[in-house]
Amino acid sequence: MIEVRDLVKHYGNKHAVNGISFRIEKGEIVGFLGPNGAGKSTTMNMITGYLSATSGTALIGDVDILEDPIAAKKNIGYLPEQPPLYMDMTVREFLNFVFDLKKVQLPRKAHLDEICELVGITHVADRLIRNLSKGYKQRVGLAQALVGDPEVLILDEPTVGLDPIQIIEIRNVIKNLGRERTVILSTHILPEVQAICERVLVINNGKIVADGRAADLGARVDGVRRLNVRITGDVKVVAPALRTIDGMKNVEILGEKESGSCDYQLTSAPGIDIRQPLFRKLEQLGSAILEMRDAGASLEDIFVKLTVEEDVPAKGGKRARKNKEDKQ
Amino acid sequence: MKAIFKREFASFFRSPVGYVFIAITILVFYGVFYLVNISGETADMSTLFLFAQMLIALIIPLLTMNLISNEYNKKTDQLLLTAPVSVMSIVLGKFFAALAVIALALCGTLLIPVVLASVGGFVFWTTLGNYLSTFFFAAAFLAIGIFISSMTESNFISGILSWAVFIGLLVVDIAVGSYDTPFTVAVGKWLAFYSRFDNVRLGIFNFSDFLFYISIAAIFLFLTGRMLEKKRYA
Repeated sequence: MIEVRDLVKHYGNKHAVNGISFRIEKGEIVGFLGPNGAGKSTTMNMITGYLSATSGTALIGDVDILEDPIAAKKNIGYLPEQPPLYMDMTVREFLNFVFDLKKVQLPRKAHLDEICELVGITHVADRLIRNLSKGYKQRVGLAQALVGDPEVLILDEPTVGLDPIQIIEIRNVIKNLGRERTVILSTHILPEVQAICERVLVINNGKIVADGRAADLGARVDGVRRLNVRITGDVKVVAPALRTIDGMKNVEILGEKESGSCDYQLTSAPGIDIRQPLFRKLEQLGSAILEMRDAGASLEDIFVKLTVEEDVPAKGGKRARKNKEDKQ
Repeated sequence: MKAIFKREFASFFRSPVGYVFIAITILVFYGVFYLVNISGETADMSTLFLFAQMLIALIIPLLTMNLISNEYNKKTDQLLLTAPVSVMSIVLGKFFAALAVIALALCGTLLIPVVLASVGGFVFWTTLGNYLSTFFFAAAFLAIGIFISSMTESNFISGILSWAVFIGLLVVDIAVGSYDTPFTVAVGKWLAFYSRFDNVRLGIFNFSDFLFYISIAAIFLFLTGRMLEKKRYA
């Protein structure tokens, strides 16, 4: 369990984290989502005791990280943004060092072998970390966090630098680990949150701007629903008919992607489910639905909405952010 | 502390640093021994330890320059500072690892007293005192070096700065020794890192001289701990 109360971090005049509170139960995987510089890493660094908070507290289990840091840190496995690896050691030497450093009481060889197996680094265990690829270094970083079987895992962008297959593997590892632990992971990759996390905390400018299930978050943001539908029949007949459906806000024609049909993006008014009326209407027309996909409020939309539109900071903030994005 | 000591000590010998340090120490000791004691036909080791002192001041930055700077630089301090260990045990682990390398280097020179003892004119207690004070002298410089290393991310700056400080202390020591005013004597006594050694070399042991080096080491190790803590409040 992690409980964070009113965490604040100031760097001089800059408020990197500005009053963040949340509580995460055992067995929950929570995603920190936010643009670069939103305060995700700073928050993680405070929870793990690497940085001190300007004010506020973080409890790991029942232990305050500031009051009893050593006891609190025992229960945390932390993978920072840049995996903290000693390049001059082999993977095995390094994990043994971490094992000693954390004063782990488990059977050494079995425990470390299990971790290596889990993150898929058994076959590179005797290679120097310096010589590993970025993806493998990232895995060793994850392995390091798992040493000692901590109850709380804090992973700062755990899948950076991995190839697509590795990403899927590591996501599954994290999902499995999350069943009996408390996991926080940060990312600015939206599909990652959708793939792993049950709950999302959207962070921007050092504040939580949204907290909820990945699925619920969409409805909360705009309340509208968007469907991508592929419908057979003539556009000139189908499109006007679609517009007559109650609750239909907008019909956008996306064009013919399969011969004899056309793709539409349908936007419904807040709170109205148009799927059934849509089906009936098309039945009358003799058209068929070939494909229907919920395109409504994807995390991309939520993200953009929450971080750019709703939470415009002081004057010039939006422009500043835009410039930053341009640079990236 | 044990884990950090082990890692750090091993890491000195994963790179050439540990070997180079020991090799230079041994070369200088045996070189001076040959030139002074064998050529000069004397069993007096005071010249030898005078060189030992200079040598240590010159090569200790080799051991300390990376010791903490590199942790910042490679972000491995995040691992250490989020591990369930105290800051002081991190500092002490590193300190004792470097001290062990120095001890090893000094052990490599023990053939000299053995040879001298077999020839005669050798005073056991003076030699032991010299070795001990060399060791404590080194410990004090080591602590200063570690402190400097904890101030910067750059091992280059850390190394150069340690060097500058060690040589600066020597200059101060010499300068203060040559101006005999009450003020310089008072200041000099506190900054006399090198000349404190003179008595020991001549076989005069004063517990306060040892205590001086130990205190310096303790103070700078404590300050290093504070420096690491301070980073958290940045």
